[in-house]
Amino acid sequence: MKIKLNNIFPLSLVLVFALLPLILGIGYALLYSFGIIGVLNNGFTTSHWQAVFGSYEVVLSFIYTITLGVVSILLCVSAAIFLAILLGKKVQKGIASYFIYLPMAFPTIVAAFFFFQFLSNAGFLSRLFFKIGIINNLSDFPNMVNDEFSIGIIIAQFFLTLPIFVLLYSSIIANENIEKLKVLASSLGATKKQILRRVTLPALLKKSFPTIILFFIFKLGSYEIPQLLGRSSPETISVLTVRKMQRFNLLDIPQGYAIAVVYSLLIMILLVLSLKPSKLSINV
Amino acid sequence: MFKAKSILFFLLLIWCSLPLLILLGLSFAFSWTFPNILPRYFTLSHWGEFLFRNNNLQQSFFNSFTISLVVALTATLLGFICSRWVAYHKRKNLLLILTYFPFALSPVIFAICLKFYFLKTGLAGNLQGIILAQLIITYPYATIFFLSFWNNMIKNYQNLAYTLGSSSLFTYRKIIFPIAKSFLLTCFFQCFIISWFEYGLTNIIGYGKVQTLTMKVFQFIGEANIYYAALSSCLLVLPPVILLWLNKKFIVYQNR
Amino acid sequence: MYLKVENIVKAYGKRKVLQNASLQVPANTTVSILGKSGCGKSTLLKIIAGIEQQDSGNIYLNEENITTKKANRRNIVYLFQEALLFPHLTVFENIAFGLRIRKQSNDHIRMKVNSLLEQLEISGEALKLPDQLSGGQKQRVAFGRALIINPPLILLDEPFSSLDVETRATMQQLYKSIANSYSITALFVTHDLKECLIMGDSIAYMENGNLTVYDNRTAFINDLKTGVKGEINFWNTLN
Repeated sequence: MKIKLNNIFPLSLVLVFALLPLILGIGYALLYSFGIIGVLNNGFTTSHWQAVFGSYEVVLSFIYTITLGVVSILLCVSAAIFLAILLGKKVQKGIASYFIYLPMAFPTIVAAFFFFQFLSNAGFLSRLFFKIGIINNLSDFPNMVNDEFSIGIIIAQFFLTLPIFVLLYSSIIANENIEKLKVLASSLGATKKQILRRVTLPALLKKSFPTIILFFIFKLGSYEIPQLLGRSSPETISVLTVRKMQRFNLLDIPQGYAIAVVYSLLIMILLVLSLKPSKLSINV
Repeated sequence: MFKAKSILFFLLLIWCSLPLLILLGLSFAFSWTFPNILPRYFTLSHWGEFLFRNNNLQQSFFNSFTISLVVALTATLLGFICSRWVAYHKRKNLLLILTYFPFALSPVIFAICLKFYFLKTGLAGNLQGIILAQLIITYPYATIFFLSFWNNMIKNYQNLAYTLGSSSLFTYRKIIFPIAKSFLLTCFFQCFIISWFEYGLTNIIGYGKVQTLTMKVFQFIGEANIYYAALSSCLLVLPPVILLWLNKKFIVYQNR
Repeated sequence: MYLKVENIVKAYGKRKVLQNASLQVPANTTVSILGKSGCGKSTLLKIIAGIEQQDSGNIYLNEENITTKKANRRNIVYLFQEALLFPHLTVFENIAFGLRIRKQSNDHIRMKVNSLLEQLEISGEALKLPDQLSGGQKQRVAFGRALIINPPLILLDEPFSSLDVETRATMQQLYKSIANSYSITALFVTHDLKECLIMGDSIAYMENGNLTVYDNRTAFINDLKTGVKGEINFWNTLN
């Protein structure tokens, strides 16, 4: 086939900006992690990889990151479905709708900072509880920042992502004839509960599946929020990788790259999974 | 039932707007000690300092603005051109996944993997480097954004204009660009915001040498200077809020 | 012969869309092509217009070989199923588009557009935007936009199929009268048997990429695969 001149320009742009950084970045990480390049490295070795897979810290970090992602997304999706079904078009029209969009004006770093101020022991919520008389002492307030259960992280993620899903579901409900399907189902004899379980929920989830996976991917990579609101152990993958890179112990660097490679593979698999079944919708 | 619905709706609105209100309040606050809910008094001095004195915060505001402007413009234009090619390509799905990948990766991890090349090419620690690095994530976003624009309808318009005797350039100028105007504008603002909000990647590629607003927030938090952290947070949040007021679509992008 | 299409072959991958399609159209006549959707008739029109590339075969227009000429140099206008009016331009500017490309003077453009608007009976809509028009009105504007550049050949790809029955009948008559007054040469593609008979001075039938051209109407009616016989029988048995 003849290659046209006006195809070469976009082709090279796609290559230079999308593929090249990817190949270079992951290639570098791979080589470094196998000891082929890098400051302290001298020749091919799998020792860094063994260290990574043998490390309790790293394995825990993966489990922790994935769990955090699943919990955050699950909470968001269920709350969003609930709110979208209950509130309907209310969330998309009128002045009130502007409020729903507000969290999207927040960079993650600001959201992290705010919830640090809001949820910490000396924070706004604690003071409010103190004034009302629910707590009598600063230390009575439950730990929600840098805490054992990562409550602060989950709340901050919830704040940032809830509006996107509420808007997504209310627009699916409006555009996909869910109302008509419900009427149809009830004319076929389904009860309210059955309609919810067999019609509304499956329809909404199926339609939003790619978006759910995509946001799960984003949550896996989130950095600022766990950095500020999380504990020093366990850490999320991003935080752990960055820390390994910035350590003075140079032996940690190849391990950091190995983690980066594993993480990238995980993301690749999830992406293929989410993009395969249907076209991804980027606009809510 | 109706009342419960209204209460819930009201709570949702408070939950969404409270952070901005508290941050604004904090940026005017002075001496906010436990257990007081309100600070001892409010002051204009933090804002006055930012607006009228020469300081780092001003500089980082302009840094952020310049970076975002250049990044958004470039990403939108490049994305517009490339997405057409991707959209009509036989292997569209494969290209889509490949384009999505840089955008889906955690920016900090991506930055760590690329840092070496930025160092080697002298692009680490300066404005050009940061712009290039941010393009690596905004450009795929823009490309994906425009995929829904290049549908059959647009193809037909283009063909129609050709058969009426229009040249490629004329078709783009008089037909495609006018039709794409709102798409281009939306994409520009969304890319602007992605860049405006970016922290991890910028910090790693910029080596902290080029200070942007998000880095200022982090710095003030580290210094336990909550009033200035709140002030710089407001500086970050207010431009998107203004965009939101202009058009809601401008700020619907995928926040991490 | 005014338009000569010779042995056009086109395949998408393994699927053969056109197999040696040949066709001749005398000047100032309309040839209609009947065929089911997906039979390759749209592809044939696109190749004649220059929007698609054929794998082999030749096209002659007025004795000139235009096989490799670019679409925007052929002057052949292709009319789509949808009116495809440029959404950001008024009715007036939509019709004027071809003249603006040719950099004609404003006075000349105004005169020509206004006379066309009148002929198409949409003078009152000149300043409206496309989304304020009805389906029939949109098609009229699309016609106007095509006619204004005096194209040597017009290709119509089921232009009326999205209109309701009544508007459709009106548009068919309108087309006939305009085709007469402008001495138009055209190819008219449709899947509607009746429309095919109304619109065409002569008729062709397309199936699976094979094109059959009929010498006259009787030959078309007598060929069983065109379905005319079946149709006649159906109406006869009703009596």
